[in-house]
Amino acid sequence: MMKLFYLVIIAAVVLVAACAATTGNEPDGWSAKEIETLKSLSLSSLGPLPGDPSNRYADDTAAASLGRRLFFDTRMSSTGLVSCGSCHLPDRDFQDGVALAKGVGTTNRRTMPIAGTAYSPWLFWDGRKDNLWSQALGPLESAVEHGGTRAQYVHLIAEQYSTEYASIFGALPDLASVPRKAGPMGNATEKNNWLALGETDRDNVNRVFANIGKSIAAFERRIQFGPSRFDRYVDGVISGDATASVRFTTQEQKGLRLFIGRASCLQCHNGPLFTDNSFHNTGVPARADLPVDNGRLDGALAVIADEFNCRGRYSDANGDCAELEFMVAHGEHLTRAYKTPSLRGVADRAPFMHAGQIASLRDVLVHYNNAPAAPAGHSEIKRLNLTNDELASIEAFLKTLNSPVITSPNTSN
Amino acid sequence: MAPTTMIPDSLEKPAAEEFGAGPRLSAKGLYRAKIDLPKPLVTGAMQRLTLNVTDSDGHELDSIAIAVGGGMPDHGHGLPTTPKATRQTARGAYQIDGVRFNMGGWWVLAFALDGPAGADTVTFNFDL
Repeated sequence: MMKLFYLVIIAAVVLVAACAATTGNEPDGWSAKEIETLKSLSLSSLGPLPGDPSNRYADDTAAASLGRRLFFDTRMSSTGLVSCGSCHLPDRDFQDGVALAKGVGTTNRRTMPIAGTAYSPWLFWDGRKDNLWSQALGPLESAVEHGGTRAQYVHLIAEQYSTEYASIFGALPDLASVPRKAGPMGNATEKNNWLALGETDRDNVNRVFANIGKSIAAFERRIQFGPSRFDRYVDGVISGDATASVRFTTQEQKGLRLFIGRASCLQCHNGPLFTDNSFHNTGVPARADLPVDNGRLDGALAVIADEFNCRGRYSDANGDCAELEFMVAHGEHLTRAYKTPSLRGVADRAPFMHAGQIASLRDVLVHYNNAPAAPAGHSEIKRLNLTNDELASIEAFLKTLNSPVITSPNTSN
Repeated sequence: MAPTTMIPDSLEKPAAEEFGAGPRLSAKGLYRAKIDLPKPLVTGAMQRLTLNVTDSDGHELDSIAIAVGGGMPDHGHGLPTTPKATRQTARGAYQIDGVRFNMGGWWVLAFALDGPAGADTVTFNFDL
């Protein structure tokens, strides 16, 4: 009788302890420190849209409206067939799902998605642009993307958008002596046409061209991520809400634990956008069919030389350019270092890496697990020795980062 | 990421009392330095701090040449930016700009100081 009594007492204690473990201050077993980490990854920690001092029209709704029209206008190309939206497809997180982008030709790099890029100090895989409006101008003059020149686009504004342009930026300059095709990045004829222009004409064209970029940037910076299942899960963990809609499966929890722990993902994929906005060589293989790609090594020099960067005459930043001032501009470690992409929505963005070298998310995890040597430069990643089951868990967690892509009202302070 | 700068390759994580804003003695004992943080250090954002430099007797020193280095010895990489001493703001006080920590963990901030007593390095450890 006494033995039974003691057994009942022990059972009751075990039961109470088990309940406390799941309904107390450690939901799903997350420690206080881990919960701080989860919070740091949550969209609720993102903060309001930062201002862009280099673009005085960044929060101008008329500029954003013009920018949206230009973004989808296929006349912004040499063939009349390519717009920004041709590769930055709105219903695919503003990217195209292929390894190398196809404009009038084929690029050497993967199209990058747009949501959240207003929070990034560097644009492109190699960070060769330091603001969103200069970024927009790059593809416009790329021989394989839009294939056009700045003169062409400025004439298009004058012929099709002059009223909208003037109401935002003031009257257009006189373009009578500007050829249809002229620009410093064009073919021999286009370059000669550009060099034959007087300095005033070139400056006028550059300024309208810069304003085209600033309009597109005003539209793009409002493209942001909405909450994902992961964000709702973190909200639930913090508030103690145990309803099914905010729960993670055991596998997803295991994957998240590995993500913030042994798998070492947080070294680069941290913060609410899952990126440190820095450049890392992670041993991504080089494609034999593409020219040598040195990543940030070349991108650093390019951004410093960019006439449309923060310090340039078309920037509104008045020289207040901390990112350029304090950037790391040289060093072997920049070889084949690429910008950490955001992982929000990653599961829907195969193929992966800067030239689409890795076909599936599972293959990406295997790559990190094996940590092969880099073809050039030095890889920062180390072998993880995770099991297949653990890799599958991380993949399951990454799928919870699927977020709706929305255009928010501007909230810069 | 860059290799660590101004600190030995095989730096072991020091004891808890070696962490924080100082005051700290430089390696050869020539200088003493303390960091003023207007706000607690965070990851992600670019930050400004003030380095206060004295000689080993505690007298404030002006016109010290300062270079900034460091990194994460555990990960074998340096700082993601190139912070600089941008100006002297008061007696012995130097504004350091462009400091960024792109992840959490053990960071070393190292300052190479060059002044009347010669060249020396002072390091600070932070756990972010």
